[in-house]
Formats: sequence, C-alpha cells, structure tokens
Amino acid sequence: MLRTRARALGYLLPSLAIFAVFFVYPILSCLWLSLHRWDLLGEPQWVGAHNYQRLLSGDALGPVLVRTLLYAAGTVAGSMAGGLLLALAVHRTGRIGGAIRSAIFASYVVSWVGVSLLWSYLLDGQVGPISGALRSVGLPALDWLGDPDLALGSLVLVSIWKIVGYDMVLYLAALEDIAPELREAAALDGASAWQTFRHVLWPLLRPTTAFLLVTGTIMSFQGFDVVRVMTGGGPANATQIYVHWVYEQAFAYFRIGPASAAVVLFLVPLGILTWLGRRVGRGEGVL
Amino acid sequence: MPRRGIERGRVVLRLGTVLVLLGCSGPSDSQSAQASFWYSYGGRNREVLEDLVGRFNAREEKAGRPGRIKGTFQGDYFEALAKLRAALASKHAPALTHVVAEAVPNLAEAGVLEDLGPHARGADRLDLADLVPALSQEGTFDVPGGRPKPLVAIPFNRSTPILYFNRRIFDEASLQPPATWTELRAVARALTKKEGDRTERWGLACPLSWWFWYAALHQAGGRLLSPDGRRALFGSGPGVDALRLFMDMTAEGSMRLPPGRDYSAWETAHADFVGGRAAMVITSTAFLAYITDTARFDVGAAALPGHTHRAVPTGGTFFVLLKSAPTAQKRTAWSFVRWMSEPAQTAEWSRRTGYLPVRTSAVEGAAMQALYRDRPNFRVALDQLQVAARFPWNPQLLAIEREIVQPALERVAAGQATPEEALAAAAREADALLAGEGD
Repeated sequence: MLRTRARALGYLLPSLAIFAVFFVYPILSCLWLSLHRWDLLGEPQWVGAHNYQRLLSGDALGPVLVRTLLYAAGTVAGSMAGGLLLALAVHRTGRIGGAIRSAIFASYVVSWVGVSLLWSYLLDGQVGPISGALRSVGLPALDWLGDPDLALGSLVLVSIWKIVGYDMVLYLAALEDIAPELREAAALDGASAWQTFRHVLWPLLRPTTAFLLVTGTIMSFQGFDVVRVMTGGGPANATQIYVHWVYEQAFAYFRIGPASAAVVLFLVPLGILTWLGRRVGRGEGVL
Repeated sequence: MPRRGIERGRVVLRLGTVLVLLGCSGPSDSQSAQASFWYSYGGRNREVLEDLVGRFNAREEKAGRPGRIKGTFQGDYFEALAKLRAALASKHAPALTHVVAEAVPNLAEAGVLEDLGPHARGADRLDLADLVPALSQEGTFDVPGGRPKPLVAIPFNRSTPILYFNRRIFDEASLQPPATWTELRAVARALTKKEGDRTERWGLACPLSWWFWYAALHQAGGRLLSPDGRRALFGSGPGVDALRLFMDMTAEGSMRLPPGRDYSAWETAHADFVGGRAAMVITSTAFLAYITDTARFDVGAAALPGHTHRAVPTGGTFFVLLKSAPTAQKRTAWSFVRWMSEPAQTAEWSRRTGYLPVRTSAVEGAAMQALYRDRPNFRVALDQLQVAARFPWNPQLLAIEREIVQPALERVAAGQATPEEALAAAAREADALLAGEGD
C-alpha cells in the first residue's frame, strides 16, 4: 500500500513540480506583491490593503470592467450566433461544405498576433482596403481603429472572425449527434424549418451552447493580444480591457502593486465562471 | 521484476528532467568579457548599428583583447525599458543599453546605473569636455539646487525635432518655411488642399506626442515643473497654449493628427509627408536620412517655429551601464561606449542616420563640415541646440510623461476633454505624484 502510494507520488512529482513552479509560486508571489508598492527597482515596500482600497474606491477600474464586459459579451454572442448559423448552413453539405468548413476553421488555427497584424492593415483608415472600398463607392471611409467610438467594436469583430470557426465545429459535432429520426418525425408532423429548429434542434444543442458560453466568456475576459497589437489600448483608452490594463500598469507604468492587486481581484469573476464551467462539464447545465 | 525496474527507471528519468529544468539559470560563464547590449532600433538604424558593433568586435579581436559586444534588439524604447526593469528585478540585466533622456533620472536615483566618472578618467579615457554641451548629461538636465549628479549617461543617438517641408510644394506656392506659430498656421492653411469633404493634402502632419508638446510648451515660455521640482507648472497658460496650437490647426483642417499610439503615429505622419499628403511634418532629425532618400521630391528642413521663444527639447537616448553587471563586462561595455563616441564613429553614425554627432571635435571635423556644406538639412538640428530646452532632473519625469501628460493629450485628441480641462487635471495628478501620494 505504502509502496503504491510512494510510486504514485513518484509519477506525480514531475507534474507537481512544474505546477508548483509555474502556477503556485507565481500566484503566491502575485498575492504578496499586491500588498506592496514596487516599481521593479529597489525593494518592495509593504502597504497592506492600500492597493485594493485604491482600486475599489478609485475610478480607474470601473470603465475598464465595463469595456471588458462589452468586449466579452460582443465576442461571445457574435461568435456563438455566427458559429451556429454557419454550422446549420454547412451541415451535411458534402465536399464543398467540407472545404468551406476547413476555410472557416483555419482562422482559429492562426495565432492571435498574425490575425491582429492582418486586420490592422485591413482596417487602417487611410491605406486599408476596407476603407478604400467604402471610398470607391462614395461612402465615407471610417477610421475603424482610430475612432474611439468604433475601435472596441472593431476589435470585437476581429475576435469573432478569429474564433467563430471553433464554435462552428462544436455546433457541427452536436448536430451530427442528433438522431435523423427526430428531424424526420418533426417533418412528418408538418413542422416548418423554424419550428424544427426552435423545438427540436435548439433544446438538444443546449449543452453545447452552455459550454461555449462559459468557455468563450473565460477566454474573452482574458483578451490581450488583439488589443496589444492593434490599438495598444487606445485611442484614449477606448479599447483598454482588463488584462491589457494590468499589463500597462505593470510594464509601462511599473506599478507592480496595483497590477498584482487587480489580478487577484480578477480571480473572483474567473473563479465563478470556472465553477460554472465545471458544472457544465459534469452535465449539470447552467441554462 | 524487470518491469518494475523499467518503471523505476522512468520515474528517475522524469525526476531528472525536472531537476535539469529547475537547474537552468542564467549565463554560466559570468566572468566572460562578452557584454550584452540591448538596443531599440529596427530598420535602417539597426543595420548601421550592427555594422558598427561588428567593426568594434573585429577591432578587439585583431588587438587580441577578449571584449565582445553582443547586440540584441529589444523592441522600441518603451518596450525595451520594460524588459530592462524586469531583467533588473530578476538580476539578469545586460551590461549596456541605451535609454531615453526622460528615463535617466529615475534609473539613476534608483541606484541601478554605473557611475561612469571613474571609467571616463581611467585607462580607457573619454574626453568629457569634448562632448557637445547641450547633448551631454549635464547639459540635458536641470538639477534642482544645481548640485551636479554623478555621471551615469553618455550621449549616443541624440536628436531634436525639426520641421520638414516639401520644397516643391513651397516653391509652387512661393512660400518660405514658417518661423513663428502665426506663420505656421497661415502656411499650413494655405497649403491645405480639399476636394469636397476629403482632404487631398494637409498643411502639416504631426503626431500628438509629449515631445512636440514639450517643444511648444517652451516656445510659449512655459516650464514643466517648478525649479525645486515640487510642483507642476504646465496645467494652465503656456501648457494649454501649446496643446491649443495643435488642436486648433486640427480643428480647422490644416493639420493631420495621425492615428495610433506611440511610434505607429509617427510612422503614419512620415508616410503622409513622403507620400505628398502633407506639405510639412514635424518629427525628429533622426529620420532625415530615411525621409530624404524615400521622398521623390526635394526635402527641406527648418528649425521649429517659435512663439514667445524659440525652443526645442533634445531627444533620443544615452548609453548607460548597469551596475549589476560583472566587472569584465562593464569594462567591455565602457570601451564600446568610448569607441562609439570617438569623432570618427559619431560622425559616421550621424551621417548615416541624421542623429547629431555628440563630440565637438566631430562637429568641427572635416567630414561633418563637408556634409553640412553638401546637405545643409543635417545642420538644422545642430543649430537648434542653441535654444535647447532642458528636462528637469526628477525621478518622476518619465511617469509624468507616460502616465499623465501623454494620456491627457490623447483624451483631448479623442474629443473627450478640452485642453484646459485635460491639462489642469494632469497637473493635479503630477502634483500628487511629486508629493509622493501616487500609487
């Protein structure tokens, strides 16, 4: 018995060591740093809960949270709706459908930085082909990334474009799982296409929807690359979302204490989402 | 039994892998004389710099000395600065890097920079009196109380902003480059070309950046901080006038504020000028070689227009050595710094980029004098040093620039605040920071 345990521990040790070094230690040091004032030079100074008080009572974090929620809501709703529509459109469409599926999924495989660089060019207000096309048909060319009212929306669109293929693939898999007899029965009962979808397919797709909702929200809460590459959080902070804000505090302004405290605070919503995600994973459902 | 042996072997193997991973740390040979040099150039300036580094190394090898410089690109000035701070915290800083002037007081007061005085007076001597005064550490900063600070920074790629103009457009309109703000506005208006709602050509393109605002602040007779460094003085009067100049020109359509943050806005402004979409651009003399060679028209250069005063800040970077590096590496780093600031090298660097030569003997030498005769544009920045505005030596200078003034400029550019509101709020934030009430 003891030997089995010891051996089990032996097998576990490598992963535990990596887990400890790359996850436990950074989390603990983040907690410790969140109670200090430190600019990466010199020694950290103990300030107690000061950083938390400043963040929770100040007016810096509020707009950042609102933007993060807007970004997450737009990205998740857009990619889920788009993924579902695409899945319904290319479901059982043979070889051509297969080619289209692969093309759509391809953008999910490309790195965020690559996607961001591509779209920085496409959306450029002066030299970008999209503004050029608008101008050539006499429409005003919009400054997609330079206008504070448009920039966050532009990033949402780019993010949807990037991840919609993933949502589509999961919906496709779920559609494949639905027994054809159910559709046939609905058709025999005279259900229209919309009624079939609303009363037969949609309820059966619910676990997939719940899964995509939770994982998509967790992922978009952590959005960073697209902001870093395309707007740097600007113009005038219009695209300053949570993780990028933390990055800027830490590595542009060297305010390690507040940045760490913000990370710790962010554990709350992410923890709740992860808990929901685990419920979904166990088939308990959230919807 | 053999099976168990294999399993045990696997466990040991995995443990071994982990220990190897954990054991990996830093350069093993810390006493080697190879010094890392972190730099922030892409494009042409990077080629020129790597070329010079290569020649330094070849020279050392030929002389049988062990010192070598290993240059590494670390992103733009501010990305590189973030990496430097992180490297200092994890005790893996390079021996040598170059930082913007505004970052020097902060790093120096934190005690991470090597005192260069002993190096300059040592065996590898550098004639400090031959450094161009306005570009040296002493000439760049106003120290509160006037007590000189230890020497920690040697000028490397120093610059000033200058006004570039498209000579073809100016000749067609029979205009001269503007010498005052009033002339600047009039000339920009005259050269702006519109077709319906669309601007075919702007009079001026200029990124809304701290550096150009700082120039205009001093042209309007203002100062950033009080002489004792305790109070911000830019929240009203000249600070607001400076920002108004750019915003009023933008509002009347004669100036283009290029979109994007930091250097992406600069690149857009350069592209507008080179592409003929802007008749003038205000940017660094550092882009002189690039802009002149890229433009398909005759490029003119002039001093920045003045208001109540003529003034320009200096810009660009200083070489700094990091105190934490091993002595042998610091020795190599110093000998590279000294070699780079020799008249021959600083003149070559200047000629191939547009940055200013940092030695008086280089300025007066035959090579630079010939260049100034052939290409008078290269002289503009040098002449402007007569009216160079200093930076206050304050550990919060960089934070005031990056966290307070630049975001305030962006808020105004985005139409979220008037210049008065944004700068008054910024000055209050700066006061709090200077009083030690910041985060």
